[in-house]
Amino acid sequence: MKKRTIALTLCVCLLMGLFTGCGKTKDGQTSAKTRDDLVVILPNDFTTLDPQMLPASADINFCANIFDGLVEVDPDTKEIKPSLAESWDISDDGMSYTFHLKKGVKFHNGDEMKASDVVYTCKRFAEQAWMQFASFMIQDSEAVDDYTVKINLKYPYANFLGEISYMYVTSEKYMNEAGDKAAKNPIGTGAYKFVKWDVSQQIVLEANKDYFAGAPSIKKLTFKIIPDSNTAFVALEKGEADLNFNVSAVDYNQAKENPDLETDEVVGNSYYAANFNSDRVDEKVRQALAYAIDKEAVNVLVNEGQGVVTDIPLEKGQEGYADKSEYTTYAYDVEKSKKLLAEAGAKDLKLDFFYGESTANGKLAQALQSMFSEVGVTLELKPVETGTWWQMFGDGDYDMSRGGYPMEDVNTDAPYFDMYHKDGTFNVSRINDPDINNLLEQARVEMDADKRDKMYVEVQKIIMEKAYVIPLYFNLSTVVYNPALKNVKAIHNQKYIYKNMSWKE
Amino acid sequence: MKKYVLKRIAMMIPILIGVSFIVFTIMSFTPGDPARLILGQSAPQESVNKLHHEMGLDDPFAVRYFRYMKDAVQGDFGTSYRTSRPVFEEIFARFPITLKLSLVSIVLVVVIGIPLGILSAIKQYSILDMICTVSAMLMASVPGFWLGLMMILLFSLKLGWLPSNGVGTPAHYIMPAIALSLPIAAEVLRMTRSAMLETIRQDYIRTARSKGATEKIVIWRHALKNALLPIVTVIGSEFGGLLGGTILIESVFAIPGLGSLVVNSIRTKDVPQVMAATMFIALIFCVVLLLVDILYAFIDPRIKARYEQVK
Amino acid sequence: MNKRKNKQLENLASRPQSGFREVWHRLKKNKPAMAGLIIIMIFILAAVFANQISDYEKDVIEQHISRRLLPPSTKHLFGTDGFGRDIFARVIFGARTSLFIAFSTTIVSCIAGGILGSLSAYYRKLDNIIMRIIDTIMCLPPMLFSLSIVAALGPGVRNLVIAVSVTMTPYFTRVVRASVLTIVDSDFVEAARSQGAGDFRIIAKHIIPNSLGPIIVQATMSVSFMIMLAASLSFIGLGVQPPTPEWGAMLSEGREFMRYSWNVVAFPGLAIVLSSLSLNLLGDGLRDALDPKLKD
Repeated sequence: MKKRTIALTLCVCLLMGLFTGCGKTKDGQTSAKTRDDLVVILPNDFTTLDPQMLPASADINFCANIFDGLVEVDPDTKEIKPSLAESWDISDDGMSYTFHLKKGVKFHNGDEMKASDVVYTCKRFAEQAWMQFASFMIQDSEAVDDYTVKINLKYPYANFLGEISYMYVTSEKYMNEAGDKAAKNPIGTGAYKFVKWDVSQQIVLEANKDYFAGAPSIKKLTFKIIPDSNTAFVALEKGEADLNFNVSAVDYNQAKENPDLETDEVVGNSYYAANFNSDRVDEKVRQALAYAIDKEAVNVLVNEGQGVVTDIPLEKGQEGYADKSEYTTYAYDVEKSKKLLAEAGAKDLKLDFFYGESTANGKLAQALQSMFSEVGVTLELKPVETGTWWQMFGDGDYDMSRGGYPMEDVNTDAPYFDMYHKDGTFNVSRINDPDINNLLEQARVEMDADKRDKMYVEVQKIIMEKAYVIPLYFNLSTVVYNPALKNVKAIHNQKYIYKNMSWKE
Repeated sequence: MKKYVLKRIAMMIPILIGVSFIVFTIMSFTPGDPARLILGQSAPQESVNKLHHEMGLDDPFAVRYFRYMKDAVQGDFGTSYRTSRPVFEEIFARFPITLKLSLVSIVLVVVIGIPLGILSAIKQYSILDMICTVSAMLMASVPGFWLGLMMILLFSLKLGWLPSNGVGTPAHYIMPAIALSLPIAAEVLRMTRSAMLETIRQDYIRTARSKGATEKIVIWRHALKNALLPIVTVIGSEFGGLLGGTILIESVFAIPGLGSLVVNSIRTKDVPQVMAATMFIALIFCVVLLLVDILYAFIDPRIKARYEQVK
Repeated sequence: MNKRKNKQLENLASRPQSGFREVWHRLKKNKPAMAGLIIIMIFILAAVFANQISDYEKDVIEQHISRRLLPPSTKHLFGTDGFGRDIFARVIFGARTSLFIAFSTTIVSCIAGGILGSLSAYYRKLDNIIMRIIDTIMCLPPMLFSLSIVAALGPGVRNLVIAVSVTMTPYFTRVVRASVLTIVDSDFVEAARSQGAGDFRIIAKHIIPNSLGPIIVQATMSVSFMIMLAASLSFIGLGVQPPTPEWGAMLSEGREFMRYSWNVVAFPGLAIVLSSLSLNLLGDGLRDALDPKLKD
């Protein structure tokens, strides 16, 4: 028995030892002194911190803290502002952009940022499959001298500057030296330096004192990765985190009532729609089903009413935006839907609905299922893994799918081309309409903004008339944060830049 | 003894091969093209097809399997399709977390299950006994993930006593460990109880009693020692299972452990990661079982003798 | 299901069995087991008469924005969920789904395990191969194994049944094998064989009746495990698809509301606990009744 007691005591000591190693004091709120750190909640971890290898624009936005691009897009005015490039010239034919780089900008490892780095980054930007959505118009680039870079395009592209803002400049020397390790240990020119990355747990950044635009006020950024919305919100309420821009709709309603939390909201840029596979579903059926959807109800069921119902995938101010009166809309009308279905000869219709697995998509799917069943159509739900979902569009083996797009600030070309052109990479409806194809191709190289605008309006008219897509809503971009923070507001594309934030004195 | 251990280690190899074959087969049926996953949605179909071909995914099943095994035997388990990093990097990053969680859970199992089991055996048929038995049944019937949710609801959201997610401080491990350990503790409790009862009835204990030794010594020394064998079996096999990843608890508590790694890899058809992770889990399981068996030898000399007879 | 309980059943299977009436008599004396029997009967009755208790279309399927997330009341005993559906009705119909899955997987595993176990015990050459495969499968945590199968086949009730059956068959195989092994070499089988009875006849007349006891116990306990497994898989989205109500799926859906509407996760969870508990109690009681020596 003695032996066992000793053994047990040893075990307990061993366990204690294991834990003291990983102990961490809670980030409490110090009311006496002003804080200089910030804890932000992220819903998912990244696969890499190499800015040219990230699969989603939301992830790329994160890199804006560690890296800089040649230019920046102002979140409010949508203007293009200089960043690493202090000025630029555009050739007369619109096919060549010459950037004049700031001198003396240092990477986090002390090396100076030069034109060679930009050319290196640009080459990767143009080659990487993930970056194609923004780099497809780039032909090549060259370093004219140490501080001048010329980027040549395949054809004139009106919104090139908006697209190049997604290119975050990396150090050629470091990338070549570090090789694979660069993905886990990023070195950029940005306001924050990388400190550490505990996979699936947290990412820690610290202020770059030598940042060319001035050292940021907040000295340390900790990004905690909390996938569960409940626990994320609790962390916020308890003061374990200071900012969360992925609060669930239910929690957001609660946050608005909570005096210890500050909230802000703005219409987001993510547009959601239900798409028909035009190869499989007839026009009449599509139109009939469009009448069967109660968009307001969908908004309540999926977003607790917080989204913004829309009939068109554009917001006011975007190119091609037109008033409701200019195109066909389908108001919720169950009787009309049934009538049209009968006319189309669709009896006991069964359709399948594919979507990438997620809570929100699941709710949307169920809502649609219920609404379709009211008009006698059975919707079979088929959640799939995101990768499989992508593959499906190539095969075309589906009746309906969830569609949508993170809309750009100023660019209507990229999303519309992707969604509606026959060669588009996200043409969920498999639209191959010669009129649409022509219009989009012309608009792509059209430099006159008014002419482009009219073309997009035309495209939208055709799409709505033929009911290829049922636009549903735009999300609401919300942010919930510690009231002691200054300069925080909801950003519609969730590109939160922490260098501008600070704590109240 | 050594020969026995070596023989056991040798037997792990066919098991690992079997596991690899089963998993590889299942993964072959899983829909999704890894090439598409690596290149992303915007990539043109031709590049995807090209990469698909370069990765050797066009080859028939047998060719792909043997190629994998050939590389694996030489120590090359490939890189994850999702992160492009060597597969064991993430496994070794997550294993310590799973290990810590499993250890805490097992400690809880021992601390809850054994003493209560002993108590209810000593006080058989009493109210305490009935309470323990029914509670054990209850504990074994509660789904861990639901218990986890309820605990988060109460202890984190309503009372604010414990952190609700992730890992970082010892406090983070409390609720997940409780959720994991209760069903196992229930098992250990009932088994300790029945093993104790069976041993108490043995003749030689009556003999010890008639020799005048006090009740307590009788119980502790003789009964518990014999009951130890089945208890150690359960703890060993459950510990092995815990190390294998506890998917649901990890999901509920946002714990980056082995379980969620395997699930995510399966769902994204990250075949190299799935293969490496499942083989690792199977290996750990076998190792734990072996350690348990070795422990037997120290507890019961008769078993040690049996091992030494192995050629 | 764990290996130890399975081993215990294997041991049980190797001992002589008692008559049906004796078993029932012993079982009746076990109060917790009877309680378990009653509870599971209530669930079964609820599942069978679900349509009489609630209206499927109105309560379970239809979505009503006006009555979302209501707390329990006389109109809605368990309240309503995020789509305005009555939770009580969904739990009742969920019983149908869960029990259907659990029972069908048990039957499939029983039959498959029975065949494999008997073949394994009867034909020694097959024994080695079959047991090796089974040992290998049992090295993988059951959740992981069934998950990968469902991931490969796709979500849905049918694939769920396949996945869970394949995962559980090894356990049945071992119990049946142990049972058959004792009988295969026994005297009256020798006698039957010498009288010219064919293999199938021997299996049908002698082996199966004698193995029934442990198989029933294994089955009862497996049903409880399968309910959990199905709920777990649906919880992560790989099981039953909407709008079919299923307890695990209800828990998953209710998670985001759980803070503000505890009823959305409490009641489906309780259903899982009670059904599982009752089956465990019953199974335990059956095991004790079948072998009085195991009883304390």
